[in-house]
Amino acid sequence: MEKRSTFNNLWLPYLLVAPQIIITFIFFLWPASQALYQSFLLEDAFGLSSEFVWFENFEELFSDPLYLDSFYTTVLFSVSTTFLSLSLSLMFAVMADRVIRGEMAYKSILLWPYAVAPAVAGVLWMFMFNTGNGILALTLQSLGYEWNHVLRGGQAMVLVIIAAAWKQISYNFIFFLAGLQSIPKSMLEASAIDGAGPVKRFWTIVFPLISPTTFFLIVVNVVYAFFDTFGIIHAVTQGGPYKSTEILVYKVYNDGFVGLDLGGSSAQSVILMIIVVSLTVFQFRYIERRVQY
Amino acid sequence: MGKYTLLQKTGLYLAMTVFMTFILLPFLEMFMASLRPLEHLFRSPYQFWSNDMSFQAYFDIWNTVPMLARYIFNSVFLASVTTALCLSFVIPAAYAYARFHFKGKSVTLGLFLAVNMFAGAVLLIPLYKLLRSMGLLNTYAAMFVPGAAFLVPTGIWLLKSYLEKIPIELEESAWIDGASRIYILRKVVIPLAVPGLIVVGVATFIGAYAQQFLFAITFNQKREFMPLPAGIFEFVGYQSVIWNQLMAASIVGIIPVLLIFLFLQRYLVEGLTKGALKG
Repeated sequence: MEKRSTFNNLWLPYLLVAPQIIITFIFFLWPASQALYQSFLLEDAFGLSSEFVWFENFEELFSDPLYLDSFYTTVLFSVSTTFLSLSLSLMFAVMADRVIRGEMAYKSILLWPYAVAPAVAGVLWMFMFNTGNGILALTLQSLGYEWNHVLRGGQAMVLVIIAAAWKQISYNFIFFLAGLQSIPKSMLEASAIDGAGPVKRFWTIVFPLISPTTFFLIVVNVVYAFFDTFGIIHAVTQGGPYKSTEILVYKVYNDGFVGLDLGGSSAQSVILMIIVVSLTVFQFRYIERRVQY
Repeated sequence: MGKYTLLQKTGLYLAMTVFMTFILLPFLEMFMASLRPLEHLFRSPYQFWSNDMSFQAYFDIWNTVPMLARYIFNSVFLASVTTALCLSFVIPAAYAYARFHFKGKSVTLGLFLAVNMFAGAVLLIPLYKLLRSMGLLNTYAAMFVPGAAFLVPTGIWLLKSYLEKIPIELEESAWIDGASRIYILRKVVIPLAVPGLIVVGVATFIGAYAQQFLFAITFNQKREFMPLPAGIFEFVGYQSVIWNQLMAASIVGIIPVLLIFLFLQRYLVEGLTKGALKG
C-alpha cells in the first residue's frame, strides 16, 4: 500500500467538512427520520389528524398482495436489468480490449447512452417498440409475434428492462475496460503458450481477476435498477399495465403523491432505506477486503 | 498473442457490429423518425428511406411546444447550477478527507457512501414537506437543491481518491514558505486537481441531468421552470403522439450534453474508474 501522508490541524478539517455535514443532516438524516416517524402514524389525507399505530403500516404492507407483487416485480426487474447490462458491457469491453482498428470511435460511441436522460431513453425504446409503426415491433410482427406492451404486462416488463439496461451499458463498459486493461499481459501470454484458447483464458484468468470490478458493478447496477430507473418507468409504462411494471420506488411515488397514503408510503420508504443501507454495508465490507490485492 | 485466424477476426467484427447496432439503433431511429413526415410514420410497410424526408420537424417543434427553448435552457441551467453548487461543497470536504486526520472521519465517510447509494426518490414525501416548509416548492431551487444534496457525497468519494494521489510535498513546501492552508488549497491543490475536478464535474452534471425529471414532476408545477425531459411529454397528446417532432426535440435536447461529453470523455473514463476502485 502507498504511504498516506496527512496533516494535523485541530479545527480546519471540521470547518471544511461542516457545510457538507449540515447539508447531509438537513436533506438526508432529517427526511429519513421523518419517514421513519411517519411510518408509525396513521394519518388522513389532509394531514388534519394522526394516530400513532406502531407497526400497523408495515403489517398492512406485508399482508397486501399488491405490495408483495411489487417486491417480486422489483426483484425480477433489477436482476434482469443487472444481468443483461453487465453481460453485454463485459462482452463489449472484452472486444474493445482486443480490437485493432477504430478503437477510439468504438469507445466513444459506447458512451453515448450515458448522456441520455432516463426519461428520454424510455421514450426512444418505447418508439421502437410502438405497436404498428415501431421498427422492432414491426420486425417481431413479421416474425409472427404480436407485440403490444400497452396491453401485455410481460412485454412491458421486457421493454423497460431493455431500456434500463441500455442506459447503463456505458457506465459498466468504462469500468470493465479499466479492469481488463489492468490485467498483466504476461499472464495471458503464459497461458496461451500452455495451449489455453481464448475462451478458456477468459474463464480461468480474466474473469476471476476482474471479479472485484464485477462485484462493485453488481451493487451499483442493482441500486441503479432499484432507484434511478424511475424516469424510464414513468415515461414508458407508468407502472402499468395492471401494475405489472410497478417497481417499489414507483409505488412509493404512486401511493404517496398520487394516492396520498402518507403512512403506507413512508413505511415503503423505510423498507427501501433498509435495503440501501444493507447493500452499502455489504459493499463497504467487500471492497475493504477484496480490492487490495 | 494478438494473432487471430481470419475466421476469429470475422467473428469478432461480426459480433461487434451486432452489439453496436444495439447501442446505436435508438439514436439512428430517433434521427430517421425526426426526418419523416408524421403521416409517413403510420404508413406501412416500414420504409427506412423515402423521398419526402425533410428537416421540417426541426422547425415545427418550436411552434407545437412554444416553451421548448425555455425547457432546454432550464435543463442545462439546472444541471449547471447543481454542478457548481456541488463542486463548492465537494472541494473543501474532499481536501479535508484526503489530507487530515480527525475524529469521526470514517463514520462520516461511511455515511456519505450510504447517501451516495440513495436517490431522492426514496425520500420523496419527507423531502416534499421539507421543501414546502422552506418555501422552495415550485422554484428552480426545488430541483437543484435536493439534487445537489444527493450528488455531493459521490463527488467527495471521487475527488478524495484523486487528491490522495497528488504528492503532499508540494503543499508542505508551500506551507514552509509561509502560505496559509486556504491559500494552498486555492493556489496549489486546485490547479493540480483540474483533471479530477473535470471528472467530478461531468459525473455530477450527468447525474443532475438524469435526476431532474423526478424532482421536476414532484416538486415543481410551474411550466416555466420545467426541464426538457419533463417538457417533451407535451408532444404526447391524449389521442396521438407527434412522434417526428418528439424525436426532433429529443435530439435537440441531447446534443448539448453529448457535446460536453465528447470533449471531456477521456478525463471521465480515466477518472471515474480510478476514483471508485480506490486505485
